[in-house]
Amino acid sequence: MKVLIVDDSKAMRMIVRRTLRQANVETADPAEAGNGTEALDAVNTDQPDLILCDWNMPEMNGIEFLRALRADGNQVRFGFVTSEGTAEMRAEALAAGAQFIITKPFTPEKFGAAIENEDA
Amino acid sequence: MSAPAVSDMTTWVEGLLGAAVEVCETALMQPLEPLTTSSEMPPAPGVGSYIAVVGEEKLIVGIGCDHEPAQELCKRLLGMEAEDEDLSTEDLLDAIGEIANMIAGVLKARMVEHDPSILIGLPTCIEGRLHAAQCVDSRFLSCQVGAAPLTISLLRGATM
Repeated sequence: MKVLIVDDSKAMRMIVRRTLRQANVETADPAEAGNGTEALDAVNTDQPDLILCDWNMPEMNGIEFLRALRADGNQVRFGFVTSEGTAEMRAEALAAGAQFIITKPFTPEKFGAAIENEDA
Repeated sequence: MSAPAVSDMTTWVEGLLGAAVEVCETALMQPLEPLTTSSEMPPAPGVGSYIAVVGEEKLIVGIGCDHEPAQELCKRLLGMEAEDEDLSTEDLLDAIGEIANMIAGVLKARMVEHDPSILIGLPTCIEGRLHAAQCVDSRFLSCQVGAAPLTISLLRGATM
């Protein structure tokens, strides 16, 4: 599985990489992007099977990126990895076409289960 | 129907402390022990990260500590060993910002029933003291995360 990690924090991109390994999610070396604008380019270049994306980012945030993807007809699996997971944001994410939300802080077990089950 | 709005500092302090405990235990795998709470500003930290939490109340929440404990906490966050090479200042500030971001996110989740309008900003990470304007009340929670001293700040009415 090819994964694209989108987060403006290098630290969080590292944590997501490590957690994917700890959760035994089989992936090729994940691609990375620092915001939604960079991620749109990376989607075209890397053709990921799964996108793990922060919500709050400068330039283009996660929900804007997701809406741009879906408006373009791209139905790649999409999960938010975010520090905010209120019911309202969860509903907004699902309505925009996300499959799941993982709220920080997370454990490898929670992370793996969300990806495997698309448990929103 | 949401719970009544919260305007007393005690509820915010309890929410913030609970959020910090959850983040430290889950992301840093370290217990957080609260030591003291004061309204007196402590000495300037080596590094700090601050986030606006805005709803019916305007707040800034932050964490701060000296460089050595910051390295320790951030290496734990990133799954590094204590003896690994120290993080660069840029990476250290990025990582400390992520810890603060997680705490603010959990705080929002805990307080949103009182104030559904709560929004959190992006972390501002700096070396030295934050100079906040218009602060009308403040609490500084001195804590120990494992062996690392950490100060958690709650500034009410403040802007960065």
